Amino acid sequence: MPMTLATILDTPAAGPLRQALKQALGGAEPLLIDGSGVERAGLACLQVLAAAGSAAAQGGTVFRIDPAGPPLTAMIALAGLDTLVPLAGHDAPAAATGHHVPVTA
Amino acid sequence: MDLNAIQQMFFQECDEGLAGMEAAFAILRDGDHDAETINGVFRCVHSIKGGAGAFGHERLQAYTHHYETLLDLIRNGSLDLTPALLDIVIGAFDMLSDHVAAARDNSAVPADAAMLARLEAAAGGGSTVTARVGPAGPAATVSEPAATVGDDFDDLMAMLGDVSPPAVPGVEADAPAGWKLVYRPTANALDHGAEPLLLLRELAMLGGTVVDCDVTALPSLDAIDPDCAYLGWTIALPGTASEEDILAVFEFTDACAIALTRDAVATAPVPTPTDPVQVDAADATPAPAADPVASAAPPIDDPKSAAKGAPVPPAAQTIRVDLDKLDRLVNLVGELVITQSMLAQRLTECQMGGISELSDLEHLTRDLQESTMAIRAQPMKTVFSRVPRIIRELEGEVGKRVRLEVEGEMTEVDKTVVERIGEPLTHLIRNAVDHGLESTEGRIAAGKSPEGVVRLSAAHHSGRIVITVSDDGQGINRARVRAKAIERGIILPDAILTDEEIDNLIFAPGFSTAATISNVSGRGVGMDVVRKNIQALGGRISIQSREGVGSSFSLSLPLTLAVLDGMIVTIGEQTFVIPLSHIVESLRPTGETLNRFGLDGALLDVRGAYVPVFPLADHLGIADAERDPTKAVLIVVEGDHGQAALLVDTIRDQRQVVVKSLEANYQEIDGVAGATILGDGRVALIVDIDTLTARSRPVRIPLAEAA
Repeated sequence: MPMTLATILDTPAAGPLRQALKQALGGAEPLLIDGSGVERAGLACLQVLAAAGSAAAQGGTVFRIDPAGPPLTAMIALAGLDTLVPLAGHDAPAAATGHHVPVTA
Repeated sequence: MDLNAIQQMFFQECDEGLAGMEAAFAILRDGDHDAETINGVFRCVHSIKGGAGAFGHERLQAYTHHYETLLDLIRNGSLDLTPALLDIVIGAFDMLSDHVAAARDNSAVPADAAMLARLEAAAGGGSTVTARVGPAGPAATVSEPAATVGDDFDDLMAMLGDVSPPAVPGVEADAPAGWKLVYRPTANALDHGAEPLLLLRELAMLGGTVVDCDVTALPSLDAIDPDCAYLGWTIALPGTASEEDILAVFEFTDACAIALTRDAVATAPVPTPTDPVQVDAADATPAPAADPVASAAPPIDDPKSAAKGAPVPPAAQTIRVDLDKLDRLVNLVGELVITQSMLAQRLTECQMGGISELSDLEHLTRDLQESTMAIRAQPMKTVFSRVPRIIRELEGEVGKRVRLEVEGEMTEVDKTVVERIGEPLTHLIRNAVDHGLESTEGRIAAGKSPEGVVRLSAAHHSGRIVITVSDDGQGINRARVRAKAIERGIILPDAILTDEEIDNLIFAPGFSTAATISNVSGRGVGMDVVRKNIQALGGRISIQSREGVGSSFSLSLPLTLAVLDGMIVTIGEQTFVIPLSHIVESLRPTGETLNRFGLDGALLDVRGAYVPVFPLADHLGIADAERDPTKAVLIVVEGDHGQAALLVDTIRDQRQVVVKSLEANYQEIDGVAGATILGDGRVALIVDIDTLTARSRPVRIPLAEAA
């Protein structure tokens, strides 16, 4: 199921993003998110993406940001979330069995 | 404290830092400096850079980085601080001030390309300058549009991409052990638009890498509160990064817990309060359990070096207090003064006015009032520190060489006065340079040093502050002033004026003697406004001038505007306060000194000068007041529009009164400057001399029963 992220993923955008991800993760279809247009991303949205990634892994759903775009890729890497928020070319981490997963960058 | 408040604090500290730098430059210029002087300048810039990064002011941060690089080379002795280099450093300081202002006001960022190029050239090449930021250095930075700058992190990606991956900490045999930092924002760390990732970015710029992101506190997608922060990080930083730099990243946030340790052993201990550096800025989120951190760092040979970085709490010599709280205190003390005064009056009525307790209370109240007002007092340095830049800019504009001498900059005066004195003072400084000082050629021809001197001084004198702006220029050309005043119709051609009166003509509205109109002055507005501003502060301005020697403008101002010395007068049944600063003299006139003026007016002959008599009762609507000047008292006052003799019934007292705003408590009344509460509990209005005397000019003064 395709989904496109907003250009600005600041704290106010985190609530709507969470709602959208909850709906999108309702089905069993793979969730591919287009993050190529993201220009800014803050911690609030990255946390929501990480929680969604964790939920997808738990439910065995494919969850991936594809394509990601350099700004979002850089922010995910900066926050050390590149394992929990899989980017294009990566599948959800097999080891991620729940949302309480320590992540090592 | 929300982010805006913390950011406000940052900008206040910027202002203080900039003022400190200005003072350091004066020392450097005099050649009377030591290593600590340039160290102090470096620290100021470094601190501004840290805050700029924390609040996402990218351009300010980038600029300070380059400035700091040059200063670092100077302080470590790699570069000699020659006069030419000092000029660059001071020029860069002016640009830094502009950058800070732009960040604060969210306005257009100054064009700093040329200055960055100068800094880079001075630093001896681009490689040093760009070493830490890489390609995001001058070229990339200056080409960015100003519109992208703000309190966000628009430029984050560009800068992030340029952060060089740091060397693995501790792999070099003689390198210091790396740092391990555990950083956990509190749950409310996202409030008010704060962004913890900016701090991570700052750490990345110091060479830090996230070795672990702790997501143990991250709830499920169903349970997550999008406005809360849940993550925490363990970050490895190179040992070459200073502890000061690392902690400076967190200087402007209290919404986090951090623990910084030297990564001495492979298994780092759980951070505890006894760790070398442990900062618990807030306790909303518990510190994360420390995971074993694999590290190739060698053990520290000298355990002392690990503890060396232990923070020494700075001596708490100052605290920042919200101004509203302070104003409330001042107001309460004012109420106390009034109550004390009422109590004294009541006891006096009961023949108990002489008791020692009352006298003690009076002393204590006055001490308390003075101490409270002292809290609001600020050194004139706040204003004076802006003057060197004004002088530097003027030198460039008018092509004169000027040396500024400052004295008494630590003289303290009320904050309101400090805030409002800046504009008139700036005008006087500009006037001194543009009008007062001769051109360089003119000075040489007059046998003077080619460099003109402008002196700025402040001192306490008789309970007032006296600020003097003087120059060693040509002095006031009285013949020219007089001719110009006649030409402008300000005086009649046959007017006989003293030197002082001629000097004071420059305060007349529309007066200007500038031969050519420049950007600096000479547009015919200014000195009248200067005098008006000074008078609005309850002050006076006077001139001393000697042709060919120089001029001196002295401003005499009250130390505070919250209390004023006033004369308590009665008009009919009402009591009024006339500010003492306006009063020239008071007298009971005789019939010979009064002259009829028109049909119903009168003029008071004050030693040959005629002053209009002004019955306050008529203008304040008081019916049962004395109208016969010979049976009343005349108080000669000096206002904006010259002198006037106020007709009042009696003078009751002269005392200091606490000024209460009428606008805030009731409404603005024309002719009344404010109110106060007297010892008997009655409200007395404070007369606005300037407004009332302005009326005395066009209106004929009724004088029903004048002799």
